[in-house]
Amino acid sequence: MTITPEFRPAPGDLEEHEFLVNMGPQHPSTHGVLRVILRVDGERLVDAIPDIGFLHRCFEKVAEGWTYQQVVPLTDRLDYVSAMTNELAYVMAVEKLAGIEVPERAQWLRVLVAELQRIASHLVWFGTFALDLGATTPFLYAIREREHILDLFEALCGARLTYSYMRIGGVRGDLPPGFVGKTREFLKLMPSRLREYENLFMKNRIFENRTKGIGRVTAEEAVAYGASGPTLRGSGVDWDLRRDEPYAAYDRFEFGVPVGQSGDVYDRAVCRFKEMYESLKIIEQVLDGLPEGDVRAKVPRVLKPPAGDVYTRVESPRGEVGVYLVSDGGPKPYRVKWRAPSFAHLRLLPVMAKGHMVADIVAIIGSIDIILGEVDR
Amino acid sequence: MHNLTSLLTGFWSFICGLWVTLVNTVRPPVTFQYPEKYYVPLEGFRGYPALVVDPETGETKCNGCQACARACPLGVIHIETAQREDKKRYPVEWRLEFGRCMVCNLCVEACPFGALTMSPEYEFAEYRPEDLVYTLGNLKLPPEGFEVRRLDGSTVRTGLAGGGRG
Repeated sequence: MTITPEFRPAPGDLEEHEFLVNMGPQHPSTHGVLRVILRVDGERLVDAIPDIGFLHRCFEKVAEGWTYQQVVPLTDRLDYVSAMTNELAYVMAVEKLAGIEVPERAQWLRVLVAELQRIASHLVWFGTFALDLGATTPFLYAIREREHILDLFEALCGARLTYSYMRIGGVRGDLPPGFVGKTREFLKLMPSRLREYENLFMKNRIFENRTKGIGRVTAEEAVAYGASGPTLRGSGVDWDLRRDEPYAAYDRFEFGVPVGQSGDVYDRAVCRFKEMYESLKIIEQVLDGLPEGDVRAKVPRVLKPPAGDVYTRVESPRGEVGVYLVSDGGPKPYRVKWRAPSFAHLRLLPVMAKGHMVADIVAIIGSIDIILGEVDR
Repeated sequence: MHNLTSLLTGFWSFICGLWVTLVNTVRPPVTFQYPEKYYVPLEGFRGYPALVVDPETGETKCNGCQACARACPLGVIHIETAQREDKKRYPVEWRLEFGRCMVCNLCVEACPFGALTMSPEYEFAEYRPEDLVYTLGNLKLPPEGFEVRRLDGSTVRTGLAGGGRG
């Protein structure tokens, strides 16, 4: 028998020892408004059915009524923890559709902000994941370090969460005075802080016991369900769009891609954590070789790309963000389809949860790092 | 034997974690006593779109061309204009429904005259929702501008006529 979100159990629907537990929509560990229906047999999970849609804001339909430029700030509101990569995916789609050449410096700046954003996003993940597992202290430290990045973003584009920084044909503005120096300070500080987190949490015995062997996904399952990003790499599939299908200026940089083996919560967490070191490497290379020049190409105010469709994808902190854009030649997009990594990963939740304890579901949800703003759009 | 090593390594990870918390207790706090101390925003901070005032005439630079209203994704800007004796247009009413504004900066970039800039103020709480509809009176920036920080530690004034970053 399958259980849908509308399901109300009648006598005889469930097995004798089973019952349903509602987790959410108001639950601190579901990272937003997610309801998970847990079908449990005692403490064992028989099934976990995610119920989504509480945060639906009609992004795709609203975008059809706005011009190409106006949609950019709207994409911030999807994955609000890593707004920069959303904007990047969208503006890349429009540029590909309209055939706009982006200046080299703008490409490098895009990489710079995308990698800063990746660290900021992974810090939020690290803090909340630790909080889910019962460790309160790492959250405070992670948020403290994230503050450095938010300060940089505030100086760069004037906002701390919804940046509206990418523009079609480049970025909004050049680096403000003092940005490079502050970023270098951050680069110097961050590796030692990451090692502290490792000592505090990632190498902690309680953490290891709670995550090793939990929520295992095989490589075949991960690929079949459309997983991407650290969730896919945690299962041992070596696939990173930044390296395998380079966009913006990623082909100029040297960086590693951490890959796990067993596909459990621990491997996914370690993959995400190690990615922060790699992002620091990329940022350092960007600052060392940042070319001079314009940051924004000349783009007509009323942009009318030729009729056609295009698909672009970028590696967001959570996985692969894809934008399918259809133009009918007018000033507004005919159709915007958003491929959200969190949505695909949430489908993996029943696969991961089956057979584990109720307490493990929190660790599993934390390890796939879903953002409900992106799932529901 | 396995149990003993497991116990010892587990205890060692516990000590490592305690050491990190000990190091962090002696670090200076990064928090900020906000209501007592005013947080000075960084240059370019987006508070709300506001009108730059010419310090000599006390007038705005806006001539009501509606470029910002057209650029606004949400349509929260409403401008009505009149004509002066020297044929120049000026806004008689400039309304911003700030409650719906998402502070995306598109209006500031659209303005061809540099009449709009982002005010670095950030305390917007009101008792009534209708107070969040800003009119010409409260959209005009003070002619002396605002003091803002820069990342390198210096302070500058923004919101001045002739300035404005887009």
